[in-house]
Amino acid sequence: MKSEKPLTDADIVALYLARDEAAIEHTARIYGHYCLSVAMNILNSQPDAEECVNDTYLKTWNSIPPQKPTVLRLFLGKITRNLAIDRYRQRKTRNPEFDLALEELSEILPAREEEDSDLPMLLAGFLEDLPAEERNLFILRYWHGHSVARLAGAFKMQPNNLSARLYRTREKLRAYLSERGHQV
Amino acid sequence: MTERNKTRALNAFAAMSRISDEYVLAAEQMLYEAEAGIAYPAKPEGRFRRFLNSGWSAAVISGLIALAVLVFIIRAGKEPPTSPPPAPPADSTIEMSDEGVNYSLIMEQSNYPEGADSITVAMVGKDKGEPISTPGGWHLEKLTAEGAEAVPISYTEEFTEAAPKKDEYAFLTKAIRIEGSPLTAGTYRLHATEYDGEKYVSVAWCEFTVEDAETRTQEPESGHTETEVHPVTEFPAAEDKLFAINEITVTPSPFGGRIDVAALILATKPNEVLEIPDHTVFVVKLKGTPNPSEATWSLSSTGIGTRDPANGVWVGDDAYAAFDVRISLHTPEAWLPGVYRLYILNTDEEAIDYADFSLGVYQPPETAVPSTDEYPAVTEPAYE
Repeated sequence: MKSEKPLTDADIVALYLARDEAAIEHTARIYGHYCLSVAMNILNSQPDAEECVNDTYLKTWNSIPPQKPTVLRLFLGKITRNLAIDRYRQRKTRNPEFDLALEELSEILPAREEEDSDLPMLLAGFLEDLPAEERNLFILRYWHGHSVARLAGAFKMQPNNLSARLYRTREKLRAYLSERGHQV
Repeated sequence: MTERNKTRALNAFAAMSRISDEYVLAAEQMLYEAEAGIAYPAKPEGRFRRFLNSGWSAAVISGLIALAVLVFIIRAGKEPPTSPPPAPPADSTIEMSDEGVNYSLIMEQSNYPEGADSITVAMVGKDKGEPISTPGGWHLEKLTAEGAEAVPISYTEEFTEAAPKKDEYAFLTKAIRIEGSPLTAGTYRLHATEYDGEKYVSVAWCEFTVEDAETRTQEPESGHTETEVHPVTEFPAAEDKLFAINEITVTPSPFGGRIDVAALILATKPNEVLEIPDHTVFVVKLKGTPNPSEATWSLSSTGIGTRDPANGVWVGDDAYAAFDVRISLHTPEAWLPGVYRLYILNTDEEAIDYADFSLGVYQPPETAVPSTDEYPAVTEPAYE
């Protein structure tokens, strides 16, 4: 019996570039679950998340070419994440766990709204200076939107301890922003 | 949170999409490894809290106090070091350099149990904001009545980069593995070395002890960072134990009069409101001394999680309320190495809880690099 060799990212991207619809099939098989979990963290609704993932495939189909991602998983993850955020903006049903993450993030927003546009650059600079483990936890919470309970379970920590660590990182971020002239 | 702020927070969350792919992949890898059980084995966190809530705590504490009295008797006269370590005698197996270095060495632990097969040393910059140079090698020796004998070790060449902020000292640690037989009881000296073109010479050093099993006392429950039980309890235990210190971390400033203590304080029961009352007193004592240190302190505390802005307290949902407390402690002179105890007292000067922390044995700049004139080197260094 002939076994099918799993496709690499480069193989799948090549299918997209050749406008072969098998690209979507392979994407769904390899990365469908990952995209669904990214969307679920934000939306906490299976139908909404599935719709979001389907939109991700369409957007990916329309984006490659011209784009030619090297790490397909992250490329898909970012699209899913952005689509899920857009959907969440329009939706009335709230996801309490995700709202908690947003509330935590709101603590470090610049006092002046017009300074919000500086935030992406400042965040990138701030993360560069963080120790790897602290940076990873921050990203898992505020990029992926993982719940404190899940992260605490994974890293064998008390949820309160994990919250404390995240809180300290946010305080560092607050100090970082203040040092750069942003009132928080 | 207002709708406007929610929108802004969503924008901030969306902005995270722009961070480096490398960071996101590293974070995913860490979570994957943790959930697959490859990393982060179960730690005994929470045992202390469970212990506190159990009926056994009073009996066990009584037992520990009795044991502590015994240990105190055994260890009488062996107080934590209150002065810099003595200058190295001439019987070192390695030649001393008179070249200065811009760091000092601190052992992560001032004493290790017998049989230890690795040690960790920290390098602390002498000047704020200045990166430190990393040594060319390491040399370990055991001090004996006859002189000193070299102990074979191994270590990796990689160092983490230490680029401190302008108001911080550079700080990095190095794990050193003991090759051959594990450490036996005695006093050891670890040297940072540099190659002078012919041989390796010592440019900085620090000492630590290895205690045999009989001398060494029991490890505490998690949540207390002490490594030994001590009978000094000047403050009676409060009856109403509203909260406990769950985690304590200390940022030492070896050359200054300030240390920063970050303590995670947890309610002792779930679903209860927790407040750190205004009249709470924090006292820090060098263990084994009769009087509290002369440190003055300033405190900032913040609830963790969803907060009620009216009173700053937080109630967990089937969880323990928590406060993240930061205390800055100042003394007129530098903090001395040793084991300190942080007490939280109520108005009746009863201890609600305490936790110990240690400041490593360190070398002040003036003694970190002894001159060769003062301490003549042996002619045949055993280490190259």
